[in-house]
Amino acid sequence: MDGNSWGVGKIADPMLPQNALSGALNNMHVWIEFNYQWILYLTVFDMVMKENRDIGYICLVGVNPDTMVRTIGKVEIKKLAEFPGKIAEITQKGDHIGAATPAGTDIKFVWAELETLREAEKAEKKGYDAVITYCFSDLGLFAAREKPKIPVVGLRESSIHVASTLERKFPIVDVGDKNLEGETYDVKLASIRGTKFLVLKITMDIKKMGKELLEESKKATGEDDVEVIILSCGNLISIGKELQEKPGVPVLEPGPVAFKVVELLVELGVISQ
Amino acid sequence: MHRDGVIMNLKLAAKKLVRDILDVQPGEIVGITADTLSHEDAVNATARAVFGIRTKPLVMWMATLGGLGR
Repeated sequence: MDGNSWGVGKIADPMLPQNALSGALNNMHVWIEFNYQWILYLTVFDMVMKENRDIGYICLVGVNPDTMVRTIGKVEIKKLAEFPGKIAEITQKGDHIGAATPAGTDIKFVWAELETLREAEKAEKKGYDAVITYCFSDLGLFAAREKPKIPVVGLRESSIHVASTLERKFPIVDVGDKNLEGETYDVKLASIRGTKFLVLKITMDIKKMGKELLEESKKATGEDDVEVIILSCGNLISIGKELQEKPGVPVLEPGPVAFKVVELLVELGVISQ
Repeated sequence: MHRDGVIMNLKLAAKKLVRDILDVQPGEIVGITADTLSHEDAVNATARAVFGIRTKPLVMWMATLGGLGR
């Protein structure tokens, strides 16, 4: 598919001989679409998919001999079909994964969620009363709750719940340029504001970061009309009090909040089912 | 690549599409749709590959749709 092929949307429906086309395609076992302005998702497509549920369909929009040779002819289909399964098999064996190709791909990642789950299980075995997953992203929080019977609490979830009990609108002031953009929260969430600070650099220049957080917090109180602020990193400790004096609204540090929530759950004798 | 070479490779690619990817079986009917901007060689090679496994191709050409995106 090249950059000039955009599809046309259902506005183009009347330009097609819809009944004739759908009538023919309803009697096909397989439909190979080469249309440059594709039929995919037009009404004819919907009609065929509804009436002829067993049809096999492939969309080859914009394919020319060269792309067909490169992306189909030269690909080992059997190996390609096995590839995702092999990748899953390999990655499940390790925690730290790297992948590189001669074309220049070089990625590395860590199974943070799996590690979180393992650590939670380990903590329970060692006799701990509760677990805090200490990252505002709440990575692996729900997975980590699956097996252990002790409470497992996340920074983000607990901060948001505590902020909600204040019955006020709140923003999240983030490190790392709005990492949380696109997340969905309680309707009381007023905004997500970011600073350019990366998590690992927080302790390197805490004053500068504090200044940036303050700026964003002030904007949040002024522009977003909020009445409580959540800082969005477990490393943001002992600056909340100073911050809240200036914008004049409560500032929640997620680490201490999670700790207090955990303490409450333990004292109440709450055990996960 | 020389045109004959491209056409030869295209033939193999079309066979692979029909046999290995779509798993078309003898006796099945395969509809191929294309518009006036589709690449004729790619369409025809696919139709031939379908025919080559004793299957019935039906190629439907139509005017390229006008209008703007999604």
